[in-house]
Amino acid sequence: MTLKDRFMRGKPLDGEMIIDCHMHVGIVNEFYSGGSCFEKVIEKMDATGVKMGFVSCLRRYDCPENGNREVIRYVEKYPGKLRGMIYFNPHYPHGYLEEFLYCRDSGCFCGIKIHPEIHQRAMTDDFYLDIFKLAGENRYPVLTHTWDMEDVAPFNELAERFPDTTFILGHSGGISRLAFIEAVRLAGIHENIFLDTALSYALYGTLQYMAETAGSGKILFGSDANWNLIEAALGRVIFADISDAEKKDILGLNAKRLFGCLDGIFAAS
Amino acid sequence: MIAPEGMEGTKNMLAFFDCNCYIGRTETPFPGTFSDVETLVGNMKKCSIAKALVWHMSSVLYHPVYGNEKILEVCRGRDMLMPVWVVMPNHTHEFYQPEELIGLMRENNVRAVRLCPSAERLNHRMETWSCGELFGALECAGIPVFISLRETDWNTVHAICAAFPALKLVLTEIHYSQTRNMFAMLSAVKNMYIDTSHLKSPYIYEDLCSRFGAERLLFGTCMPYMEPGCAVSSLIFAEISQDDKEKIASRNIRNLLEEVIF
Repeated sequence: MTLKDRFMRGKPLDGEMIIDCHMHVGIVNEFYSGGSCFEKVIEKMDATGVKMGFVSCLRRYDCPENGNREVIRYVEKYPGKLRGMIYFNPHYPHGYLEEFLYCRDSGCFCGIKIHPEIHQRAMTDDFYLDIFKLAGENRYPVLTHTWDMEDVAPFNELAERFPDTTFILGHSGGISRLAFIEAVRLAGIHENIFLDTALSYALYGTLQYMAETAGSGKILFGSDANWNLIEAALGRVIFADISDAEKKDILGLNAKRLFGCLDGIFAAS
Repeated sequence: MIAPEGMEGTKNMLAFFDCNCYIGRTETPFPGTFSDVETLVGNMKKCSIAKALVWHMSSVLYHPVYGNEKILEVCRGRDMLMPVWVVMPNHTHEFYQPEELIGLMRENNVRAVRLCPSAERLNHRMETWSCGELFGALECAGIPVFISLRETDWNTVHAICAAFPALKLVLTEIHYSQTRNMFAMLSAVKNMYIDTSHLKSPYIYEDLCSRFGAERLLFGTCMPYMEPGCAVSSLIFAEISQDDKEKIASRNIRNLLEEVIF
């Protein structure tokens, strides 16, 4: 039975390695989301068969560190189910190294999340360059929000400049046609650039294009919960016109390979 | 009969009636998309979508009279597809007077219409001084009226629903960023329905059904713009009763179409 046929029965995809690399915790301010109560998101992870989620907390402007502490609380509440992405705000750079070390040593995190659109900073900003270097030295993949060409184009050079850093282009350039095409092109030519599937506007056929152009090995499953529905994000992958082997790569096997810190958790898998 | 044999689906498997599809080429297609009817039907079968309401993109990118004729040709002989006409007011005498429109729809068994009033599309207002006669005729005939939220705004939706309380207005493409306004409007007016193609915030089906009832939701994919598997998966995994799922999947839209008075 295919993944699609199993999924259409409304049962969790037990036995599959499904890792959601793009999630958030905390209250969503811009709109009403039932996922502001994160326990409901956990229930949907269980209902669909998502084994692990990587979460960041973007909206704690009062103090960026508070968001990372909130992530730690959730990771400690759901050990083996969640891992954190350390979030930095370039407008408050003081103490970022100490913050990184604190988070790293907590054992709760596996990567870094940045959001240049919210923070109105170029990808080539000095602060981000420091972060990319730090990420490479510590083997922490960097998940970055990309929504237009300005967010995507710099990675052609950054991928060369930071060969030890893995870049995940969140939203794969978004719904800008040109940015999307460029993101996919860059993932196809740079070993250290990956794409993710998180996109509320899950445009028809785009995942197939990503797999054909960049390769299914360069795509990670992301839902953007608690903003987005996990089950809708899964549907984008599971109903795509690609093989089940490619779907399994995208749903979790690629993330498992990429995030070395998961080795202990999934040792038995 | 609107519903084909086997429309109810099996015990735990839903059969879907998609209220929101189009075909035809767009100005700037995204990589991987399609514009032809064969691929649409193939995707419907892949997703257990037994039937779909479909309009033609050339109705807005060229002219409604041209595109509406095209969609009739496309649907002819294809039981899985039902045509939707794109309509507009006729003050310039380039379309049909409302009575003539209803007659032509009856003649061709067209049971739903779509308006595309944005400046980039057919570029007309929807206030009563512009669309009053049209809405009045559609209200009398019980014909569901589809409008994308990309093409209008909440104040206009409210004004239409208030001025024509028996008009069945189906608002489509409601992005998750609009959930607060959507809840307010569902409370404010009783004749607005919503398509599910863009409902992507967590527990939105559960919240909407408990607050407003499943009757206000119509399954839609927005193919070929959106990947249909998203809407299918969202409904399959919603924590609502099987009866509510069946209403959203197909029963609600079937009921609306059967209530059309020809």
